[in-house]
Amino acid sequence: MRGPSGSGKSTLLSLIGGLTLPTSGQVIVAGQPVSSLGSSQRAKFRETHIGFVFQMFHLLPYLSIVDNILLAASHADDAVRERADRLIERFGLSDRRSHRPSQLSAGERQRVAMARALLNQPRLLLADEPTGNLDPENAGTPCSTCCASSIQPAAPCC
Amino acid sequence: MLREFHSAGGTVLLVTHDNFAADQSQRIVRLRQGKLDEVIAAPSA
Repeated sequence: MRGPSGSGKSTLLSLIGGLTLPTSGQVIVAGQPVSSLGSSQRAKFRETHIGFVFQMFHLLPYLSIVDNILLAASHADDAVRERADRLIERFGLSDRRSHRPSQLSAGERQRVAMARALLNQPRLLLADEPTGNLDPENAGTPCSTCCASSIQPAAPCC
Repeated sequence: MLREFHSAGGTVLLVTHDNFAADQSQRIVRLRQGKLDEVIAAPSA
């Protein structure tokens, strides 16, 4: 999705993810009337179906890398922690798991944001300029990092 | 990574100004003043 600044790209992602409610009309994602759901149902819908990679990555500065990734799950049970560990390993962040985001390079922060987005095995990934803040060398990372078994969606969409 | 996710059956909706990233997609839509302005079939479609 492309368009000039202020054209509504990020707003559309927020609407699809149920983070923003429309002032008119309805938002239907994979048959679900997202905009008609209550806030806890929308949260459940997001957790089940959607992964977000935000523009500035939005990592919490006071949490470790592993805890930032685990933020995507409402209950960090053993299975979720195991998935987080697999993602950390596949994204080459094993020696960074206890670091804070400020101790990481931009490329590493991007990988943490990706890992967090993939933790719940979403079927839909919403990514807002994930390469926008990186130098050209790092910008290739989201497309070139190969980590098949950790990044599979739960089931085919629709 | 996005390609891997996509080939495993996932759907990716990517906001980007990056030509390389856009070229990897199956469909490019352009937004203007809050409206879908243009739908462009992408090279990889």
